[in-house]
Amino acid sequence: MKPAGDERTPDGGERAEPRPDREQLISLRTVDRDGGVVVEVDGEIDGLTAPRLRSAVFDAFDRVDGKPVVVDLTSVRFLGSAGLRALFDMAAESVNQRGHTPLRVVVDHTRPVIRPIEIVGLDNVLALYESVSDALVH
Amino acid sequence: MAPPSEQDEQPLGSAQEQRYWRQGMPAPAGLELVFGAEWVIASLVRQRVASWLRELRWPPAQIEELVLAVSEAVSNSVEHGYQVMPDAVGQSGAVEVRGRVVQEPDGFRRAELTVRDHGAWREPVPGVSSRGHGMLIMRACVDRFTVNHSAAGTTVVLLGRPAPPLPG
Repeated sequence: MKPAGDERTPDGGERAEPRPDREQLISLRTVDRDGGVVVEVDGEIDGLTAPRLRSAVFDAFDRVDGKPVVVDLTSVRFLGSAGLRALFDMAAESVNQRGHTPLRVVVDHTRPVIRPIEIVGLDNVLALYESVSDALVH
Repeated sequence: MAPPSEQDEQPLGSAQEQRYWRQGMPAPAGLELVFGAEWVIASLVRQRVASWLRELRWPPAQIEELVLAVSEAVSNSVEHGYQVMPDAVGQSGAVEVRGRVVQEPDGFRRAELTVRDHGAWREPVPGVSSRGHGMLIMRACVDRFTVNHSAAGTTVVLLGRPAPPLPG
């Protein structure tokens, strides 16, 4: 069967690697903690996977009961513009629609995450924390 | 597009090739990929571009920059060029990605990545949008970012920052 992508490699070979589905690219876990609800993200956030992050965080908004929602991005290996847009929208939703405390975003200094956030200036907009415990305490 | 072959690719200067040769490594050829437009291809392109640059022993921080930029270009082709819906399967057109190494006279190397689609160009809307962010990212991550668009499609060329020559 011809592969869906019709990719050619320089030696004329056919595409070898299987296509990951979005469940392989991102994994999400929501954990109830004393100080709030933590959504742990592992993997890549791009146009394919950002909708899953969005719905996980919106579900968390539904159950926080006034406590902060924390998005933990320390295990994220890629963050593209669709992910940045999702973070912006979720932060706006937390305040404007839900009247909650602003969404808290945990990023360490891993370049693939902090670099795009800084390029587009979201470091001035998002409530950023260096660890989940910091985000839950403050 | 002519069928690619290794003979057509001349990505490395001969001094560079000799260094690889001395180190017992084959000189990596240029990168040439053609995918059908689906959202998942951005992650495939990220993988392929990263492993191509690792083979070329590119500095890791520069690999991240180039991967960020090329991912945005590919996402634009899928989302805007062909207006593929996120859950769509099957493709509406081709996205071509090419990579080559440009040898500078001082021995430094630059990676040039070209992303081409045959879809329609739409001007990015100013303000907060993933599209506007994508443009900012591409501009920030490479030395030269050019977009050419016509009725035949859109071509984005990303010329990376200079990387040091291979030792030896």
